[in-house]
Amino acid sequence: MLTRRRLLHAVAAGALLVPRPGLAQGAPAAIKKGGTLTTAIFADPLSFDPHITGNLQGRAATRAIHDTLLRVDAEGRLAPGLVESWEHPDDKTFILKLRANLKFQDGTVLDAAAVKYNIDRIRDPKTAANGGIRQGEIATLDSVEVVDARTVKLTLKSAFAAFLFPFTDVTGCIGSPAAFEKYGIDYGQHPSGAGPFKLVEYAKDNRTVLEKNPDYWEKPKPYLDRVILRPIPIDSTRLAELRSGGVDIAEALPLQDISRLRAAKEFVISEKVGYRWEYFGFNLADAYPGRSKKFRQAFQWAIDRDALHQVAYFGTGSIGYDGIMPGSPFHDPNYKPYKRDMDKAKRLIDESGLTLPIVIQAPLQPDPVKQRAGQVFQANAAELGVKVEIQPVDSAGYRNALNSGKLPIDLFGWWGYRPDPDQYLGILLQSTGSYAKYNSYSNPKMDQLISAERAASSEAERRKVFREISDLMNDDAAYVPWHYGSDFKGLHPKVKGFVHAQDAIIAFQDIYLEG
Amino acid sequence: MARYIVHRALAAIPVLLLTSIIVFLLMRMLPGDPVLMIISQAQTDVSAEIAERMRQEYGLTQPLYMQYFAWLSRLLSGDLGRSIISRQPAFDILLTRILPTAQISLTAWLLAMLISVPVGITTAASQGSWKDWLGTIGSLLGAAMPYFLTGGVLIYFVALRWRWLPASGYVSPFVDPVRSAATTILPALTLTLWLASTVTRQTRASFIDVLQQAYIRTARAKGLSETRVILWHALKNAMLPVVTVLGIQLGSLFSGAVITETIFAVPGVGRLMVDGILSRDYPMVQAVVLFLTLVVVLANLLVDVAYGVLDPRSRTT
Amino acid sequence: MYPSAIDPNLPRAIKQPLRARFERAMRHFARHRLAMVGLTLVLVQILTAALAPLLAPYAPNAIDYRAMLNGPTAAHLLGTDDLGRDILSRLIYGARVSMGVSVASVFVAIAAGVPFGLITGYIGGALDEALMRVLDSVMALPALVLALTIATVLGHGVFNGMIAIAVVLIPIFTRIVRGQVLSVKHNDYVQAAHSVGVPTYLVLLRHILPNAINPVIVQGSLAIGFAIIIESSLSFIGLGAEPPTPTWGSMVQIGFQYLETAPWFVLAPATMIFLAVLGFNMLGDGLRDLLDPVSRSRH
Repeated sequence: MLTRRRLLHAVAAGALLVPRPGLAQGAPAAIKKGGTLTTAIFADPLSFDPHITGNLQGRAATRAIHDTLLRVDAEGRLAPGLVESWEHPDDKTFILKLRANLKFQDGTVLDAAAVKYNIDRIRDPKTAANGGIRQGEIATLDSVEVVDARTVKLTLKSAFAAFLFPFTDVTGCIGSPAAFEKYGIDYGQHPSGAGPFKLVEYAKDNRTVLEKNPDYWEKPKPYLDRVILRPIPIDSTRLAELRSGGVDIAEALPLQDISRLRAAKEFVISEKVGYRWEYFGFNLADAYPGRSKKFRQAFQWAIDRDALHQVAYFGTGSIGYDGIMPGSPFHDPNYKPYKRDMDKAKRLIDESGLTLPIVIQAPLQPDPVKQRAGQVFQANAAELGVKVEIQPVDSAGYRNALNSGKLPIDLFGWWGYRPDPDQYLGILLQSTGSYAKYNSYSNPKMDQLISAERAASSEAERRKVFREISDLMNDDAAYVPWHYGSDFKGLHPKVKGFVHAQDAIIAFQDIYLEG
Repeated sequence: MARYIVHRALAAIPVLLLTSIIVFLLMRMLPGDPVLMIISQAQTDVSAEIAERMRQEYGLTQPLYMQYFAWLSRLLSGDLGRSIISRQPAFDILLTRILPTAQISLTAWLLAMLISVPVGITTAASQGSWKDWLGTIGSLLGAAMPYFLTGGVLIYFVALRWRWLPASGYVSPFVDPVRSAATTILPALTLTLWLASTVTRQTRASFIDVLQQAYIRTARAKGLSETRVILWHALKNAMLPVVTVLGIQLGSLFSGAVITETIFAVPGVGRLMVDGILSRDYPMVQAVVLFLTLVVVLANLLVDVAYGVLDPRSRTT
Repeated sequence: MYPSAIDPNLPRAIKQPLRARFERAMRHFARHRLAMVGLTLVLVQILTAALAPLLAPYAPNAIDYRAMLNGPTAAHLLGTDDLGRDILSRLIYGARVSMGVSVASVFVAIAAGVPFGLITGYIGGALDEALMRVLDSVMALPALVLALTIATVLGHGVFNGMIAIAVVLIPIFTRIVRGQVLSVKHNDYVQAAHSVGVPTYLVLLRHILPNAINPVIVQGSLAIGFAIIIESSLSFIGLGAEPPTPTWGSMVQIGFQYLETAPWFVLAPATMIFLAVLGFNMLGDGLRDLLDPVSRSRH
């Protein structure tokens, strides 16, 4: 039987034989080295400290500078990074083996001690006080030990098969302890990692310049000499820069332009499904209509997912019915439990015990996609006799309402791709998860299921449990999923070697320029 | 004159203090705080204890008046504090952002002056003629265009359709003067249109008033040439309200800077302030507002000095 | 032209009976072409706003998923927006918010600013000094940023947006009125009225206020144009009225995203904003030329 442990062993043993995503298209005989790549990103990275950086752009640049302990392959499974192999001798133990001769950009050695230093730093309350936010990702960790110069032993508090997945992102970025000591709180502006690029210039809201690290372990990468990141918050301006040749890659293309751009064939429009999933979230506290289960369930039948797909997303992406996205090993494309049925929805409203007309306030930020979706939802709800009052707020106002548990309904609900669904389902569904607490959601059966999927040892077993979780989540209807969104990037034809990752982070070391 | 300047400088201090208090209170009244924004950006689980610890570190758990005095005392020892969101010193961030805004605003201001004074004078001096109509209509049309409309039109045609200039970005003039000019022309023109139109209308109105004054009729009756009449007698007096308007419009220029910097992705002070407000970055906003108030106070001072030069009657030493 | 243009210091209040002045002003006004054009524009837009339910062919919030972003047709004269709603109808109803908020905010600003200016100008002294410092501070902050912050504190939406803009505009009117008060406070006839025992409020109302009214009217008209710009800028940032309420500014903001695919979406509300501001500015200019040729922009 193919248990997860056997699978992981097999992967670990054949680490060097695992197909490298970057050359999946067949490596051409001579890759031209050199050149500068300019990318239009939609926000400024802000910090390159792996334990502090928060937004997508910060994570992308930080990963380019530091590299990660582990990676995710094209099938969504763990792959080696700075760690060349790993073992899972028992439920609560992981042994990581680092590659040899790893060096930081400041010249010091990347060894097991450095890894321990970084993991300790994540969990250090002092880091938290200064803005460190990654402790929650390795909450199950009990202790980290240096076994020898290249081996690290991680011991968990409880069984958790998917524990290593956060190390494929910034949590697994390893910075030079010497640099941490030297710069302290300013490390974010003077990072020193073992990644393919080093930071040479940072001008907030203007540009970030990365230069090739000649000592990078994964030879012959990186091919590029320089990468320039330009934050351009307005969608249409980003696109304009791509078309005028100001940038070579543009992130997050405006959805309404996708079909037109594809038809024009001027640029390569790359789509990756399963970048994020959307849901409408209800607050189950007594003060709000969401306290009634039938009220919530009515919306599973009342929302017009087709309309949402067309109107909010311009037909891009796909309709979603749970929190497990395409691209995940646990995704089931045939799972479509709901079809629009207004009669059923109205009956549920009648049975809900709430008196019509029901009025519900919905603070919502000015995000164009969500504003459109919110108005479709408003129209659907109106057919049920439910009046949804959309209140314009800024991002902080929305966040404040959400985090203080005072958001009657979350029209902005979404979660971005994570290599393992547990990374966000735990936060949403487990009664101790922060979002569950914000929404007063607590179901002991769900807690049991979450623990079960963590303790499960094989992928097949986890798939079964995840299906039960999805069923229960939809029945409880605290979160009503409605879409899976894709990530779109526009590339100049001269950009080669680009593999579109599901987390939308560009692996600059794989890219080279042609012509 | 020196005494006057010192007197005005001292009078500026309560304004600076008051503005900082107003902004301090307004910021604290906004829902949410910077710690919230830091946590939410990451979409990861951060416990309430960690969030509390962060708040303590940034002094956000202290009573308001203590927070304000802490800021004030740090300020007096020369420390503008650190941006909570990006953790860099606020002064450093502010310093890098002043140049783009100054470059664009000053260019717009100069262009506006160069356009509006001659046009205003010409239209006022030739009231009712086709020149007057043209100038008046033009300035009315220009003043009716909100900055975001002008900016949108410029981007659409100049950057997108004709591809003459870049749609975004900023390069420092010390790095590459040509590209610097290319990236700042469109934002500057966006500001110039409204500013020039408004000042033209003011110039015209004030010139018309002055030209009707008794002493102008006297000068004409004395047989002085029209040019002499305009340039010598009328100009000095008509410039007074114009100078005031140009000084007053500084605030409007800043609002315009906010919009143009957003549309053209220019890393200036206007965007820094708005981003700071939206992300509740208290120290950053306080620093920007302080700088802004200093600039306004300085501008008002310069206007008053100009008044003193142009109109001896209004000197108040 | 106007008699007081000869000697600006002569108070107009005692020069001619009110009715005769009014009639004379109206005649001058009718001959001032620009002002008439401005007045026409303004009246058309106010009427549009008032008669919206009668004029609009569709309900402004009627979503139609099958007709998204359609160009102008016979059925939809200005096309449809990104949710299939009729742009013309939303434009007409949008006049209600855009005009309503702007006009209301100026009225509120006048209602608060004028008495403020009267009182502080008349009383003078330390109170006046202190208030002027506060006013200086408020005016030092850029209008858009201040309006944005206040609206965020109060909560966004139509009403709070109006209050926010009013707060931004109040210092303008306070300053104008205060300036007028200061310039006539020491005139003989005011002193005379005072010494005869006329109560302060009557002095303010009957002698000082009439002088202050003219510049207030002029500035009020211009301020409405300014308020329209601020309101549409706030909506442009996305923090204006509550969806699905249409406002011209939010329509421009959303329309910007479809600039190349559906340019009519942006053009319609942008033109309306432009015409509204133009109208009020023309009106204000006309009023200024007629009522207040000696405009003091200082104080």
